[in-house]
Amino acid sequence: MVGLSAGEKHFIKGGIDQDLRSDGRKRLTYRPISIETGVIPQANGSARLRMGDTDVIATVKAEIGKPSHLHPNRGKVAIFVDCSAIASPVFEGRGGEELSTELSVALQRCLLGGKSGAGAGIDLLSLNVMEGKICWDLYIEGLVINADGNLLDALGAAIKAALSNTGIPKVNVAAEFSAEEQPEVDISDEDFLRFDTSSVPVIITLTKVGKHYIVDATSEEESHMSSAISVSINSRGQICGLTKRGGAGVDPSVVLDMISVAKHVSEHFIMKLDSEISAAEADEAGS
Amino acid sequence: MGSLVHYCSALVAAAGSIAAAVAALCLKKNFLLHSSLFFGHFGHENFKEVKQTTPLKSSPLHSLCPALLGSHTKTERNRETEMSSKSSSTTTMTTTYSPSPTVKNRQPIIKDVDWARPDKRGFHQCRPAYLNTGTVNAASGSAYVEFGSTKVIVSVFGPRESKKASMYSDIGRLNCNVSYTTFATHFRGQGTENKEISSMLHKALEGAIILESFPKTTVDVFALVLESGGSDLPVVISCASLALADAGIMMYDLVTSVSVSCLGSNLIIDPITEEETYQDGSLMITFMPSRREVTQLTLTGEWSTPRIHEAMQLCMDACCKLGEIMRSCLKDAAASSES
Repeated sequence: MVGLSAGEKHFIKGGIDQDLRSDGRKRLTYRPISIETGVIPQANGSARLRMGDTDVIATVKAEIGKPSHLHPNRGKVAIFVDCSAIASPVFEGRGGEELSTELSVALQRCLLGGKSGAGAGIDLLSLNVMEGKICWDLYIEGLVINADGNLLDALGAAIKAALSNTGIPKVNVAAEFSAEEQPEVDISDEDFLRFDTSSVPVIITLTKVGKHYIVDATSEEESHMSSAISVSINSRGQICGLTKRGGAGVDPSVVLDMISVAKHVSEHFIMKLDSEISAAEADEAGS
Repeated sequence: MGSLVHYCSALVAAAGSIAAAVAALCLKKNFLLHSSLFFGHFGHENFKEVKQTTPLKSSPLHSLCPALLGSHTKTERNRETEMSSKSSSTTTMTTTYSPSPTVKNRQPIIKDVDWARPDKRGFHQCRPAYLNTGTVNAASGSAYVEFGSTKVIVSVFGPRESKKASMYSDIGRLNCNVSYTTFATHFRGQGTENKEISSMLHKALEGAIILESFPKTTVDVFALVLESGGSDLPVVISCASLALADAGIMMYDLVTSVSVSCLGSNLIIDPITEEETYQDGSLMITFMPSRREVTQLTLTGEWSTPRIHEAMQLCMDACCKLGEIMRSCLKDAAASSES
């Protein structure tokens, strides 16, 4: 938590009321975003995203696994977030655990869709190698390097960038194998399959301060939060997940209003993010 | 007393009817939960006999059906028949609510037009609910709730001294903990605490509790899911707010919670486990009915805005109905303790 005096709090709140925040932004403006891709060579895909002082790394690791009995034709995806002590001394030991779980759960809810797999940002069917036998397990890991508010949006965007950076090796399955045995696989070093990230949603968090909503709140602004709603929206404008943070009750009509504002904001954000990701990819290819 | 032990253990042996055990428990206030559930000998007393010898004082039997949006005539008719059957059953069966047996054979859900819910409910019809307060004597407040086969018991302790050596706080703290029994699900689980659900419960309740009313102290909310039959979290939340009210913790309003599942093009309220496994999306709302405020809202799957609106309306309507039932349950409890 950020220790703020009553005067500072009043200043921040007053600024938001007048649509001029303490760093000069408007209520619905994001901080400048910069993305680097391929920062972790050991991972199949990775990206580092900076949004003001918020700094996160997302990595994607793919491993050969066995599909579950319930969904033999689907791969598996696991999302974890680590709030390390380097970001803030409060995260030391088990301090970051609560926030880590909250963020992981919110990301899972926003990216993985319903139980039947409908509306998932990551197409689990594409991770299938051989039905009932082999599939890819994706381990998506988020690391918070510096926390200055709006972690969920930053992590969501970083994961999208990391996924578009991900190359999944081509797998050749040995032709002959018995029914019980696990077939032998040959993982190619050269041929990679690109991941389609067009349906991966972005997460927009609207923080409610007084009567107004702001996007991309800094940690100072977040300490004012009465409640916040994180909406994940895909490029088709469909809502893929929603999480409310903060315990204070809000009127149902306010919730619906926040959803429509988030939808409006997401159109710009998706465009910006896509151009940043392609610029980062070009940078990586050029260097 | 002895026969009651037999009765309880016989039910536990039959599996899935811990409800009745706890309901019977409420009668014998000096009974310990664990002793009745896990110890004691296996007897073969008849269910009916015991029921007659142990009349319950009050037994609210309810079914909550949100008003339907649009013209779903089929469901409307179902609701009416359900209502009429309920009213007749309340007159004949005044002693206790009989828990329905757990469905053992799992049938795959077919998603076609004439699809019927596994428990023959209408799409917009909630499961019958049984609510009771003051179940656990040691706690400041407690509640036992069952919605269909989902059975939850919540006890509230405090306000009491904060155990963790933490900083001074001029508002009270809320500590929530949800755990599952090892026999709660079809597959024997670990009976572990569930962090996600615990934090969801915390977030759902903290906005409703007037934390300023108990500075420097902690209120502990412990929830135990005896049987998981779907929509566990909404049931836990509703039960917890009932227990908090029973404990006399100051709240702005009762918190009620209902979830809907999206299956194909249908919205079905209060889903059971089978339905939750096949759902395309889900929406859960926690709502304060008198203040008309949403304290928590979660959504998974792909939704369009009008659909969210529809689902929210449906949930809020059910929440209001549930709120009334919870209120009447508390009133009944208060009236019976006075007399």
